[in-house]
Amino acid sequence: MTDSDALSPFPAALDRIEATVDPQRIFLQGEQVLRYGDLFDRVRRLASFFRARNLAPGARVVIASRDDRHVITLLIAMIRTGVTAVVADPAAPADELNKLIRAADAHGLMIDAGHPAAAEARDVLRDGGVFLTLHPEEERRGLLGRLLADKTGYPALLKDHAPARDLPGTLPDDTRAYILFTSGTTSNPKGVEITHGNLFAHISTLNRVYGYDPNARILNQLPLHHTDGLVEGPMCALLSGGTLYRPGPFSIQQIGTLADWIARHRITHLVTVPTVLALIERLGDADRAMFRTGDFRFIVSLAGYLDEGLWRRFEDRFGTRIVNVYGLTETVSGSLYAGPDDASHRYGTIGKPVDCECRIVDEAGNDLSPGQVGELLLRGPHVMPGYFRNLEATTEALRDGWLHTGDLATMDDTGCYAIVGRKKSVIIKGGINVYPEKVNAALKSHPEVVDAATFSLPDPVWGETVAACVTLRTPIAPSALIEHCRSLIAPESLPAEIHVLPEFPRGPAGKPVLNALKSHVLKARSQAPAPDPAAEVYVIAARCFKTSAADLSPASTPENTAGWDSYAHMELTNALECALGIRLAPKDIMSMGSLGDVERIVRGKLAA
Amino acid sequence: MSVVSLYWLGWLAGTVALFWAAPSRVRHLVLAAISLAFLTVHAPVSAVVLSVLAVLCFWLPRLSPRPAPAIFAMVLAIVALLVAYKAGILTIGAAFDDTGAVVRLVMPLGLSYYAFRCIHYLLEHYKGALPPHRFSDFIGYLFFLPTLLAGPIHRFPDYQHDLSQHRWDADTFSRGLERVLYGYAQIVILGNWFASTKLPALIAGIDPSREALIAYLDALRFGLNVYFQFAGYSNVAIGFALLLGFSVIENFDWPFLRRNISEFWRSWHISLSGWCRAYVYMPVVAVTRNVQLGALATMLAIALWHELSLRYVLWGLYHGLGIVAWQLFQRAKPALPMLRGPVAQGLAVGGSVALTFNFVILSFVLIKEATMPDMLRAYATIFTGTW
Repeated sequence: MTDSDALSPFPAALDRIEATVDPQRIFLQGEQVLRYGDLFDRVRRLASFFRARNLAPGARVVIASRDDRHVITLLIAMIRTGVTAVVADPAAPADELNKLIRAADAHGLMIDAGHPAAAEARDVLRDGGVFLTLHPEEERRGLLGRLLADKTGYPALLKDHAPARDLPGTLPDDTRAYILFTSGTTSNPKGVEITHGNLFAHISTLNRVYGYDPNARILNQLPLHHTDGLVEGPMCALLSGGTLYRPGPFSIQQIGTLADWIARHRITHLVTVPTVLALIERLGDADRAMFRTGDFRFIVSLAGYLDEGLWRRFEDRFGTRIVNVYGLTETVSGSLYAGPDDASHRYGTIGKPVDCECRIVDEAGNDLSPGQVGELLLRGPHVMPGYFRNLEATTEALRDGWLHTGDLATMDDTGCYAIVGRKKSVIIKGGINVYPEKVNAALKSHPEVVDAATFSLPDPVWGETVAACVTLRTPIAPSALIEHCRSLIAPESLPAEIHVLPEFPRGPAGKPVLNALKSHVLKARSQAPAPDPAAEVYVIAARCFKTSAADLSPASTPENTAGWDSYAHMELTNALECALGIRLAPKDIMSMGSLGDVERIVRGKLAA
Repeated sequence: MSVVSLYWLGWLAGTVALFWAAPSRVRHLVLAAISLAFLTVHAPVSAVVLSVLAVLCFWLPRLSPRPAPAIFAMVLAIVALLVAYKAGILTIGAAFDDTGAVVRLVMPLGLSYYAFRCIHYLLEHYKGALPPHRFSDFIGYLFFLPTLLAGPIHRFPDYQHDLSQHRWDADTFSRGLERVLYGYAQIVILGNWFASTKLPALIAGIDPSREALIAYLDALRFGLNVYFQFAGYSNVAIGFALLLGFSVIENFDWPFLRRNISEFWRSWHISLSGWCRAYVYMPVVAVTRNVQLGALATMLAIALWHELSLRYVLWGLYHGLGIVAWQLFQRAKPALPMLRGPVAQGLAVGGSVALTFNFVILSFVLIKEATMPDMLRAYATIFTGTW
């Protein structure tokens, strides 16, 4: 919590960075480059624009853009001038965006010119609200491009505004730096308010824990409308004087590109979520040396449960350390850190608190002993002052200065904490929060749906996945329900599976019993057909190569697998044919360059 | 033109300087331009052949309505071209000895290496195993000066991987300098001085009545010289590539310390044996399901790649039969009693290494002697003469 009389450290810190860091130094390397000099020039020009449009300290401005450079520059300009940024998901449907603008009671909206909801969202703004369209930035335009280029939106307007030379020298410490809505469409939206004091204190912690300095080259491609993308990316890079790398959103096909960026740009830290690590480890034909570049220091894993097996396998295979971080949007980003130091780097835990205090309490609020399971409470300078205009949610979350995380945890003898469950209903799918209430509302809006219950199921890649059960008036295919939801909720919130039941098991209060529904779904899954025999590939290969199946993966090749010589290659061919009753063509045999290839070929043969 | 010359070092240094001075996006093309200039100056026919191959290998499979037949036709055409030059049907000149007699016909510089690179590219294209790339990337791969003249036969995916992660790195550069120096030491000190000058002098000092020992040591000297020279050239090439920020496949990995002939061929001229394993052994075995036939075909291909002659056919069969014997032994091995204890196992390993070493050294007699009678005489001396 912050002292209301204190002053924000940001004006002085940003001015110091502007004065000391080489203007030619790269601040952001994405598809395009943003240098420190250009960043601060734009920040000062935007400050003039804000002043001209009466966006004073305390004003709330929604940013909805797919352009990283725009989002980051606008955010920093707002922090420097005391304006509060409300960063929205640029892929949010119109309905969700409009609700967020209303919930924030926004004084301004800065939105991509091509956003399908731009015109509609403008009407939702309060009277006199500032509306600004954001346009793609192209380094070189031809004559026609220059003639057709936007002259009124951002960044064209910058040339009409001289860099402000009289930026505020001081701002109150409790000035809201940004608001992130963790649930935007329910009747009770929760906008996490983060003050300048919270943000600065936390970035100072992060930069110290991770060892960020002007030589830091941080690769963080997480979405900027999440705190882990927003704070652990541009804000950490800025205050350390380092460089942020954002090679576009992650995809499996992009693993090779990620490896290229890590090597070519001498990345020192990769900030990512466990799902990305799982995909790299399980699905990608990833280069084992991708982190052994000589410059790389460690991976920061956050925003989700890091499976202990994945953690160990990944570190073993890639020869790099993973720092497992626990935190919430309400604590800016992190709070507990398993690593990078040896003392806190304990597998299966979230490590130890840094610059904050922890307690584990029972239902009555009594402190529990090590080994006992209870709710994890946090207190520190980075904890939010509350939810925006939501006293009920604030008083429920913050009691006596302690943030009730809703997570069930335990502490071991070494002082390391581990998360064992959750009191809250939120589903964390690949690091992204999915709110069951929101999914239920979307499902129930379909005229044929009587009731809906959404819950999480364990998933080896996403950590958790979204599943739903529904009861219907008349039969309708689950795929039609998913299509219906697609226009109402963000893609990551869509259920991976929907099960139709005649009725729900209900508790005394009439609420669906989620555990019974989960059991039903898991039982239905277990009765599904057995996994395809292609999984046998590894067992057969292990026998042929005289090694352990545990040492083999889709990335195993003759070059990196002892025992896979040309003789064993034919043994494998014959063994696969005998065991699986398939016939491999010469082209198949020649194409078996890795076990991933073998699995793919075998699966294709079995399907045929 | 010798790699052991100030002239070549000048090309090396100039190439490295120009390469790093160029903007990063076009460096590989600058290197290709330098390589083309080098070939144009020293081997204009090679410059033309390689340029034509580059265009055909890239565009023919892409523009042809039936890519597979086009690829195989192209592979056959490259093999035919290689055979024609190696058989002397085509030639661009001749090398003479002091008496004016023709020692050998001259073929386009580096053809044996870049022909195999082109075939590799075409077959990987057929398999759909190439990473996404542009024509300019392929040009950069083919016109890669460090490996243009004497290998290693590096692979396109490895080149593309390095190109996509390319950057300046002082450690890599330093390692490159070391490897170049190491390569020159191997060629000059171990090859030219020790194996070609000192060792013959030592052998000449042995009592002539110990003819078997002399014949054996001469085969050993020949084998060591081949190894030092070729490994030295490979190290210079690998070092040169490192100076440009590229890692090229290793070509030798302590081959004379291997425990069996299969291991030997995985550590001797690795880029060629790996190429033949992928594009000769695998197709033959994939079609026939006969690993013995695959081994013989592979060793014959390796032999004929060196020289189209009876002595190399015999040399290939010798090694092929050696691998077949080892494969049969592997099958029989589980039925044999296990050696227990460190002493027995140590002796077994030492004996295996000695057997493999001598098997390889004796094979050099096949290619060392100028004529068949000389070769037979050398074997007779080693096996029946006085030690």
